[in-house]
Amino acid sequence: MRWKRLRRDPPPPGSFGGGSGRGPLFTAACIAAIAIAACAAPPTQPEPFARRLLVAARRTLPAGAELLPDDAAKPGEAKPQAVVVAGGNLWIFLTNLARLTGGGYAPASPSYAVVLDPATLDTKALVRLERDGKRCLNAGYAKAAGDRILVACAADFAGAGALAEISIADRTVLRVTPVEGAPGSLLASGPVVWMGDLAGGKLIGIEPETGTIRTPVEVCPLGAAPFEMVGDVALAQGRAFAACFGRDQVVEFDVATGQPLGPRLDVGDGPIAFARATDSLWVLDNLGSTLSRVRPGPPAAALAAVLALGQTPTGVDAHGTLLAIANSTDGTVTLLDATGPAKLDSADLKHPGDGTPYPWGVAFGEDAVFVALNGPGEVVRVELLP
Amino acid sequence: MVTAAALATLAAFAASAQEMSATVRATRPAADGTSATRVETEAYAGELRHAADLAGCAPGAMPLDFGGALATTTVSLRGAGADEVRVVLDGNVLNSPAGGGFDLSRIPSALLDGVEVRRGSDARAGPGAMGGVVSLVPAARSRALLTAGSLGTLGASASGVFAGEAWRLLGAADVRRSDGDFGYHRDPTPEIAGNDAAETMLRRNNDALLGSALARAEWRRPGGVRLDGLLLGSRVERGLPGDVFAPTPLARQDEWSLLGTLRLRVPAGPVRVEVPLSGRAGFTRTQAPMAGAADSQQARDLALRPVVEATPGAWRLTASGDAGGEWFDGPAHGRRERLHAALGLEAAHARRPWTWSLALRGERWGSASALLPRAGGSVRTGPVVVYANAGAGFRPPSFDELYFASGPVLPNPELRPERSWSGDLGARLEHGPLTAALTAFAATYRDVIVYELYPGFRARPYNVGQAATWGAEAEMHWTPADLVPGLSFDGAATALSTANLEPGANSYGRALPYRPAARVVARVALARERARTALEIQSTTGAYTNRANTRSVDGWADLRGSAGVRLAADVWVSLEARNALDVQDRMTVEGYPLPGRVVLAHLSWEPRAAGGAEENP
Repeated sequence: MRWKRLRRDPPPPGSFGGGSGRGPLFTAACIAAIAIAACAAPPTQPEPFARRLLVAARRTLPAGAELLPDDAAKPGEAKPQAVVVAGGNLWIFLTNLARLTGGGYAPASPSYAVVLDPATLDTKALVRLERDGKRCLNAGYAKAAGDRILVACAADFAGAGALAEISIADRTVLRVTPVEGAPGSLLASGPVVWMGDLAGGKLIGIEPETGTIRTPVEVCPLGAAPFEMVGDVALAQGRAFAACFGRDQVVEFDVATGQPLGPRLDVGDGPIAFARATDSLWVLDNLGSTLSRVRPGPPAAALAAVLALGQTPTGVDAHGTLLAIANSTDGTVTLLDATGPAKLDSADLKHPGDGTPYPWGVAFGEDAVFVALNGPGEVVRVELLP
Repeated sequence: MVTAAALATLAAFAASAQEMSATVRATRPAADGTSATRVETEAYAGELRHAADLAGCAPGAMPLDFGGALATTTVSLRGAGADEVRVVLDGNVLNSPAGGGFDLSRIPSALLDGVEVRRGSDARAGPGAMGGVVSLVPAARSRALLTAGSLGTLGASASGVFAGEAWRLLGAADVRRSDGDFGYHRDPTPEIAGNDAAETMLRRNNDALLGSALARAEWRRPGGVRLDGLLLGSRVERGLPGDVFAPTPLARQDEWSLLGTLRLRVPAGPVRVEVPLSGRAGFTRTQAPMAGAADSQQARDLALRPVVEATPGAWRLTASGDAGGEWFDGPAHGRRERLHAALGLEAAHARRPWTWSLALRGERWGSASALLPRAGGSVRTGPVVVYANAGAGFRPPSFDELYFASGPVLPNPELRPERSWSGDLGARLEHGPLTAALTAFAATYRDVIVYELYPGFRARPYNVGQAATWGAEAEMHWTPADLVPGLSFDGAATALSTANLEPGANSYGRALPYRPAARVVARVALARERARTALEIQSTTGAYTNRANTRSVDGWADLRGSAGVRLAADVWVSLEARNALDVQDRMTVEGYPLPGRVVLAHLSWEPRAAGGAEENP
């Protein structure tokens, strides 16, 4: 009696969810200030003109064999996952995992960032995520933070994780810092970068400048579900929140210590990603295929499953009052107006006659939404139209 | 072509006045209280049916069709999953040790006289009968059928019975093939209804080639001693097209299986001893859809299931045993084996108007064990029989769940068996040509094996599922021969409610996904000496497709019909239409698109009962 499906389909290799979290404009503004107060300020409101989506261009990304695999006979599958728009460029991160005989995946080589022109999708650079012999393996989450991009490297989910920092201007890897756990989502706040653990309900804290690794803090203890992970971490109204995927809850935590605060808020099934728009933190419920809403408060309050989305949403980004959501199983990207909230439009990302291309990470640009297609290894530019 | 056939049928009806008998179903609350329905193959003469089509006509049964003329089809009962339904053929278990529901499309109606659907947990059937048992009754009559029609479907089947004084031999063979490609409509952006036009998709890699052969032999000796044997071989080669979200244009399945039973029956006064030895071997080769690599696996099992039965007076005392093993070998599983043993005792008593039965069975299946009680009975008052049944069930984890490791799917060797309790209470009315039954049922399940998230966004099975199901079943069979000779009405309806009892704000108290709340099958048939026709509607409500009940698929209705005329002697020509309204946006709860209108033409040889029908042993 298999009445719960984790997903409709087996996830593609290296699929560990995410997207780039909040909008790059907001993120960049926050990180530049390196202050909670600054992050609490509302982002610049874009022109609320966009109401329709148009798939304008798509580009195939490098395959595993082109990524200098450790064993040339066993190249990885270069699956694009995280998407960031920063420094006038589009950054797509390739997990690069090889399928193991007997099940599971293992990194075939360090992950890569592909730097593209957001207007033409022409490739400008390919950045191998390693430095000083330290490797970023299985890079699934990335976020712009001031002059750099932070990349969480989950490796094989067995503890050999890392945080990579890339110079946006130079397109070079500045530092790779190994950490325990399988880091996923990212939140930069002051000197600390908090990363949600994809192999447990912990927050992994690191101070990159000093190399200090904080003792992991359990914010999502194991509940009734046999597995727990932190789906995402984010700031809203100066308060930090973590999504507990197995418990279907959002919990506030102390951004200085990582310790959980206040009551746990029930949201939809399988919260996996946050986006901040209007006065709320919007929560993507991966298993329930819904959008939940958290008002940071105080006191914080949640409205679970306020809107039905496409099937198995994985990535979300915000741009003013707009939300863009990648629906993995349906193979679509949906544009929402968070002031409703109301669905404005949805674009089909499938090749004609094909099944879903598993859209994953999503990020707003100036006049378009960029979506990483995990299945065929492509990036799509979806234009915003009035 | 359709018009010509319809006119020919009408003309034949006008010229015919003699009724033909065609029993579609028999509602059978057995002496032990079991709620059961037997669907007869004969009622669907002139139609291309397989075992799942027949089982799906019983209340409580829900076929899960992967979409296509010869597509994989499993059956769930009373909300239990297909892998929680035991499928047997003449005592042989057909469920694979690998797990999953048995694909009943592999057994065509040409090899069967009927399908008996016994609903509710029944430990006497062995492990895996939590939802009930689908029992396939082997063919025992001569007939032949040639088929051609939509989706590039072609089929041929024949069976023959040969008998002497002390022996009887039956042989049946069937081969079917289908291109399987069809177009269907789909909204490319279903999250916003009506924002763009539905697109027409092509269902590809849906071809199938199925072949099967059945042989039965029986040898009777003086004193009632009987030796009989059965051999069933089947071959399947088909595309695995995937679901609507993730088509798999390159995935293929190539499978053969052989099973057999040799059974000795020795009566000694009121005691009967039966010693069946059953064995099975199967080979499956699957072209992995994602990796492009082939995965070959082999399964074998062997079991001895002796039965000793004594019938002193109104009593029937039964002791049954089960000892055997199953062996499995494949790259994704490794080489595995599991031994099993069971002992069951049953005491049944029948003295009008009462019947009752008490049973207890102990099972040891690998490292899993269970003690399973069961009680049932019935009482007759006039034309009404009231029956009740309660029992426990269990299902040991399958080899897939214990050991299968491939890509994002991981095994869990620590799994425990699933367990269930179920019961029902019903009444049957037998009033002249009308038979009708109404049954209420309920069941609870615990330690249900559910695939959950595992680090790395992989999936791993756990014993975390808990659920309750309840509902009602109704069925009727009416043959108003005094009004219109040869006319019959059949109906089966199921109302199903489910509750997920797994803790969690988005699970507890919600309906289980993939369980339609209602299903109705209604059929009216008219059979005369020289012509016959039938009209059938199958309707299934929509269902949730996730545990939070935030997504669902729509229900659908399928209008079917057939008409045939006798050409000469025992030769018939028939025309059959499925999904006659040509609805092209239907999809199963599992996300498999269903084809539009399918039209099939049949040429059949159907010797009358006196010439070919034999009693099943």
